[in-house]
Amino acid sequence: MLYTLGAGIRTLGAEVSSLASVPHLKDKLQSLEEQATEAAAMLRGSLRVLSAPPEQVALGVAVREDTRAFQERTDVTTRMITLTELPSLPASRVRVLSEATREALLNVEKHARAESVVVTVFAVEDGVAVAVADDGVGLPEESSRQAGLGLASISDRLARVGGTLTVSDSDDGGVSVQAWVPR
Amino acid sequence: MNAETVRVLVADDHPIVYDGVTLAFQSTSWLSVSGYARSGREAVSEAKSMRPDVVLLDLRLPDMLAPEVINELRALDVDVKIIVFTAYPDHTAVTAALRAGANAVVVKDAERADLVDIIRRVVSGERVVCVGDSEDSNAILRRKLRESGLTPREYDILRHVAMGKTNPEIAASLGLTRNTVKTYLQRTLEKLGAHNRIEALSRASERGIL
Repeated sequence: MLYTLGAGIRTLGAEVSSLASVPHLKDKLQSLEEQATEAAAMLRGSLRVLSAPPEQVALGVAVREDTRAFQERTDVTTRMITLTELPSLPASRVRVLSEATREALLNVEKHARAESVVVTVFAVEDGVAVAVADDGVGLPEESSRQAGLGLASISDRLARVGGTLTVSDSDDGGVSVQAWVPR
Repeated sequence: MNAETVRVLVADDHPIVYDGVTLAFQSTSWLSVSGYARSGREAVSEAKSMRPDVVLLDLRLPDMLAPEVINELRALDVDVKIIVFTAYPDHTAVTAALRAGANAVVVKDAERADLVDIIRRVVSGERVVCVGDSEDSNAILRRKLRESGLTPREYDILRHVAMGKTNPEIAASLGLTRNTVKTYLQRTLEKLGAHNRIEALSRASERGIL
């Protein structure tokens, strides 16, 4: 249906283009045509997600839930971004990535005094990574040991499935915690 | 020289697709929609009687799936090119259709020029598969970038930032100097109205860029 809408608009556009007096009409038709194409693309995208097997969406669902809970608790603007298509992961790895996300968010809540937090999920280096980045004050010296404790245990758990944990200062002050597991 | 007209049979249970294809071919003189079938059965019998050059075949007809229709069409021993025309490229079904002998698989909202071009290529013997999810997201992304005024390079850098990369890391992986990365990033923040990288990611996500 969307295809035909688009084709119809395109044809109208071709007819209209012969009438020099209505350039704005032509623009409108073109933008309608683009919208029809986009609507179809988005519909396909949604269908793809709906028909994806549960193990393929499990990580996204878990991390989104962690992110949502954090935002409700703290009122800090938090966005979750899925950067790439994600491969299916065994449940145990989804669990440890979700734990890492929660722990990283807990640290932000306790120490960062952040205004914005972004959680990104993406496929990288034959595995999947979750990065939690904030624009807070960074890890203060005295609390870094305490903060590191929870993350240290997460780091162990990641290592058990062959994964890694990286904690780094972001270029403008905040902290970025990145957890990665092989697929 | 008078090029021969390529006659197309549209097999789709939604008449609106027939209308759309007819519209799309209107300005192409060498293409004509010469037949219409609403079911797999009809498609096979129409192909037998009208001998089309090309069948545009829906992936799912009410009575048969495309691979079954293709098998029957191939059994007819007519020289017809089969293009599977689908709204939703389900990979299993697409693979099955190709294995059964489809000459092409095309997503339904291919631009008019694309569809005409695909038919031209298929008629001249090529096999065309055009179902990329990437084409979809590319179209949307291009417009979003245009609206935000971000360049592809700035978008590239923003993606790296989203992956938790630092400026030096981004510089190394894109073959730029650190200062160049910094400048690009500064411009990106301005365009997105953000005070820092995290806010920039947030804004980009709100606008559907990331």
